[in-house]
Amino acid sequence: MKSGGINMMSRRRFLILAGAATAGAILTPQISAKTQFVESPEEVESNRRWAMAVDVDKCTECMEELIAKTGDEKVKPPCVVACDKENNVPEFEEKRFDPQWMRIAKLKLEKPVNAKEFYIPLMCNHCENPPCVQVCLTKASFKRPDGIVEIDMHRCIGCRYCMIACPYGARSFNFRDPREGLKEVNPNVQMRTEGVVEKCTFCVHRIDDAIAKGEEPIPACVEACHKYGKGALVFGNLKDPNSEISKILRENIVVQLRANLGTDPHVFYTKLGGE
Amino acid sequence: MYHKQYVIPLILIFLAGFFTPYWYNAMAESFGYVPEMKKPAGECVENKDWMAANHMLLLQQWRTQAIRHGAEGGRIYHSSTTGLEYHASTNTCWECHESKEEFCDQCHDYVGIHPECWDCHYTPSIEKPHYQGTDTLSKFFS
Repeated sequence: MKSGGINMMSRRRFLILAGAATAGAILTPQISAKTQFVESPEEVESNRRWAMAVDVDKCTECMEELIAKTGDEKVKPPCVVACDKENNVPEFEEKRFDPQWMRIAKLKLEKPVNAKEFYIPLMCNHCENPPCVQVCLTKASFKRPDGIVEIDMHRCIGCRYCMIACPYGARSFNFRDPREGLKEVNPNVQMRTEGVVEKCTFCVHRIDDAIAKGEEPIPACVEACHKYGKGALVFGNLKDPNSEISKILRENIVVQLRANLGTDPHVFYTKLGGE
Repeated sequence: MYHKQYVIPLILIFLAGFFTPYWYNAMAESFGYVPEMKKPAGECVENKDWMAANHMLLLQQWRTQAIRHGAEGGRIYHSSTTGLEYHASTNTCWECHESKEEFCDQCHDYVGIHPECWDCHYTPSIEKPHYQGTDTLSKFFS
């Protein structure tokens, strides 16, 4: 603008400034404190990858002993009870409403000779390429940089796409208020509500706690398995070559469930098939 | 002015109604009900006025920290009032605020809102025994 020699503000600039001033007045100041990260996601990804190894022989032995002792085919072994109590997993009489984070499956190996029955624990496999995360509409399901697949219950709308996508049937839906089915409460783990999906988290609260303290994390099922069972479950860090689980994976033939799907599950079964 | 005898009283009634919040609040101290909250046992993470206005913002940030940044060790909340560090968890709140009924519910019931936080999250008013760790399972398995 050349008129009058006065430095007038252009209309464009005036509108931008006015807009910014209005926005500044309307938007309330948000939280100023910043999250302090101990590590970056890239560092976590290169340092830690949680996985579990199951010794099927020991698991079968423990289950057979327990069934012989109680005479109940559907008895819950220490790992499952510990998981339910640790993670506030409710128990309902009616099985179709009953959420399960970990369950024991009975398999039959049908060979002409040496036909064998064995028991394996089934839980969330914490896949490297989790199909449940791909299909989640609200990005409630996500994979942490340390490999744990977690659900943000605040975002879960209960559409159950993830339950259909999961090839392992690891997820359960809360058809009822889970509080009705709880006898004890663990304050460190949130309960769930009606209408969200839940599954095993590898006891993520224990892992975060242990990492913050610089200890070795151990999920509730593994702890109970070593205390009351035969020590069939081993949990550890795959990125650490000296960890117990890395050794097991090096020295054994391990089986992943439905590996042909390309999900790369991280629960490994050793001695599956009786070898 | 036409119909003075109707118009002026109606204007007065309208104004009385229009300014209800002002005179109601002015009278609330002496006649009405003001929610009374139990004094917490310790210092809050931020100052009291900021917390009264923005506690949901804080909880939202804690939620993001706890769920999304747990792997990166991002559950540390750095207070901008006291400069201290806190663990981002609702259980941190319960360390000072011992009762939900005597603190949270006082205001929330008064203004008629029902946050869904406690549908899932633990509160001290849940009258169920606490789980004490895997050692207590020895009663089931020997």
